[in-house]
Amino acid sequence: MQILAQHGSKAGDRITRGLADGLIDGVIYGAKDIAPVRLLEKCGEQASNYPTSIRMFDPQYYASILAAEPGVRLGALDGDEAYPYFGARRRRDLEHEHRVVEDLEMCLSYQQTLPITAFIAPNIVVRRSLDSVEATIAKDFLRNAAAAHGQLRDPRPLFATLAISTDALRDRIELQNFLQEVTELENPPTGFYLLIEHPDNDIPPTLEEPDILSRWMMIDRVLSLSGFQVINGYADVLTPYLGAAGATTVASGWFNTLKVFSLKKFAPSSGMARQPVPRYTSARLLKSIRHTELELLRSEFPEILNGGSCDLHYEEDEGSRPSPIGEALQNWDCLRRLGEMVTPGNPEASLVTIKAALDRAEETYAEIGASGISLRERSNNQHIQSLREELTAFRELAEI
Amino acid sequence: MSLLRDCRSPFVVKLGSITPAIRELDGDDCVIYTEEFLPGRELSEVIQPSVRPDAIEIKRLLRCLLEAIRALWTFQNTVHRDIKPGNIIATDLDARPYVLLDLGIAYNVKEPGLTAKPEFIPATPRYMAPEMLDPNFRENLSYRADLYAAGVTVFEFATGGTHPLSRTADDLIRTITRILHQEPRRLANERPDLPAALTGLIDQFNKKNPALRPGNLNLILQHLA
Repeated sequence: MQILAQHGSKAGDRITRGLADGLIDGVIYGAKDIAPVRLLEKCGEQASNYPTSIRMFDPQYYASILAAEPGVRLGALDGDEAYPYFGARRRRDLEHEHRVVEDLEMCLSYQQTLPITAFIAPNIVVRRSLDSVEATIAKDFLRNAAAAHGQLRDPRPLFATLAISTDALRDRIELQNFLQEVTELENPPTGFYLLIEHPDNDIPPTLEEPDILSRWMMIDRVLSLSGFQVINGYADVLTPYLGAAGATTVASGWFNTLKVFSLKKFAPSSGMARQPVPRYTSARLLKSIRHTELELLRSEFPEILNGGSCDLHYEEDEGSRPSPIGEALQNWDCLRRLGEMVTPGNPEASLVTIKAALDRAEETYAEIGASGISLRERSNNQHIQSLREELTAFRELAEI
Repeated sequence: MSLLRDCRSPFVVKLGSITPAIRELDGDDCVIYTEEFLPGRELSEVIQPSVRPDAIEIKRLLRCLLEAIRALWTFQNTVHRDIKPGNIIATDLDARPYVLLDLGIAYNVKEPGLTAKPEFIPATPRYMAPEMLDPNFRENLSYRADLYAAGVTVFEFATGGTHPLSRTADDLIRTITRILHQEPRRLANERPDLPAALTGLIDQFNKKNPALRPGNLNLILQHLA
C-alpha cells in the first residue's frame, strides 16, 4: 500500500525526511496550513527532488461551510493571500448546481497551476444523513467533478473528495443506496479521496466506536469493486483494515488532528492546546503507546518494537523520548509495516492475516497485564475487541 | 418498441420486418410486432450437465450480456428485468454469439411503472435480484439488477446446471427466501479449473447488496476483452 503524509501545521522537516528515508510515497498538502506561495515552492521542491513521489493538494473546501462563523480557524484559507477558490458558503448557496460547478471549476483551475500529480476535487462534508440536502449537494459535486476536470484537458487523474461524518454512516440502508448511486455516475472520476469525519477530534485513531470502521471499510470495498482507486485520508493505524477492504493508499500525519479527520480543527478554539506526549506506534499492539510506556515495556516485551532503523529515534538513554521528526517517521514506518498485512485484491486472505495479528496483540497485552504493568486508556487493549467486532460486521456487510 | 427499433447493440434483439401495429384482441388493444429471426438455440437448451464450457466461452457469454445491459442502460436507463437462459439465443454468428431477447418487461427507471399494482413485480423469480423483491424496489432500481440475473445465468452456463438459489422444482416462497437470505455457493468450488478472477467476478455479480456488484461496466468489459 502507498503511504502518504497528511500535511498539516508545523511540518518542519518531517516530510522531507520521510521522502528521503523512503517511508512515505508522497504528500497531501492541506490548504489551511500552507500559504499559496509556500505551497508552490514546497510542491516544486518535492517534484524536483522526488519526481516520482505523489503530490496532491487537499483544497479543504469543506471548511467553506464554517467560514462565516465567528472565531473560525481558517489559517491560510483566509486573508489577503488566500486561495482564490475559497470563500464562505452557505448550504443554500450550494443547493444551486451552477454554484457547485463554478466552485469545482475554480478549484480545479487553481490546482492546474501546481506541480501536483493528481487533482482533488472539492466537496462538502455530509454531516448528518446520507439522505439529506447535504448529501444531495455532495452528490452534485461528485456528479460534476469529472466534467469540470475534463474542461482543463489535463492528463493528471482526478480524485473526488467524498467526506462523510460518522453520524451519517449510522443508517445502513442509506449508506447502501448512496454507494450504489455514487458508483453509477455517468461521468466518474479516477478515484476518491475518502474522509470520514468525527465530530470529536480528540478520539484515538483506532476508532473504537461501533459500526464506523466496518462501514468505512464497506465504502472502500464498494468503490474498489467498481474499479475506483481510493485514497483514505487521516487513516493512520486503520491502514490494514482499509487496505483489506480495497484501499490502495492511506494518509496520516504527525498530530492527532492529522490522524483523525474532524471539522473541529476549523472551529473556534475552545482553549489552550496541550503539548502532545510523544507516542510509539507498535505493529504488534496495532496501536500507539506513550514513549514512557515504551520505556517501561521494551526490555521485558521486546516484541512490541517494530525493529528496524526507526526504533533508533526512541533511544533508551533518552527515556525512549523521540524528537518530533523521529516520532513522525516511526509512525509512517509502522503504517508501512501494517500495510504489508494486506494481500491486494484478496480481502479474505487479508482478513485472515489481520485476525492472526489481533490474536498476537491480544496475547501480548495479556502478558503485559500479567506482569502487573497497566497501560493508559489510549494505549491499552480496548481496541482489540472492537476491531474484532468491526471486522465481523464488515464481513457481513460485504458478504464475504 | 423503441428499444427494439433503435438500440444499436448487436447483443440485443432487433425488431422484425413486419411493421408493428395495434390490433384488438379479446376486446383489448394490443401491440402486434415481431422480432428478428436469429439462427441458433436457446441458451437453456445449451446448458446441460455434460457440457462444461471453457473460460473463453464463459467470458464470451458474460461479455455479450454485459454489452447488452450497458446498451439498455445507456440508451434509455432501461433494466431488462428478465435475463435468463430462456431469453438468450446462442447463435452461430461471430459478431453476435449470444443475443438477449424478450424486452417485454424491460423497464425505463425514469418512467412510471408498467403496472398499477406496485406490489406486483413482473419477472422470473428464480433469476430475480434480491432488491426487486422489495415493494419499493423502483426507488433504487438500476442495471445492477440485471447484473445479478446475468451472474446467475452465467453460473448455470458454467456449471451445466441450475444455480443453487434458483432450483426449478421448488415453490415460490422457498425460492424467494433463498434469494434473500441464502449465501450462494461459489463458482470456484464448482469449477476450480477456471481462472479465479473470472469466477470471482461472476460470484460478485450474485451479491445480495446491489452496491457490491461491480458498477463500472466499461472497466469490466475492458478486462474481459
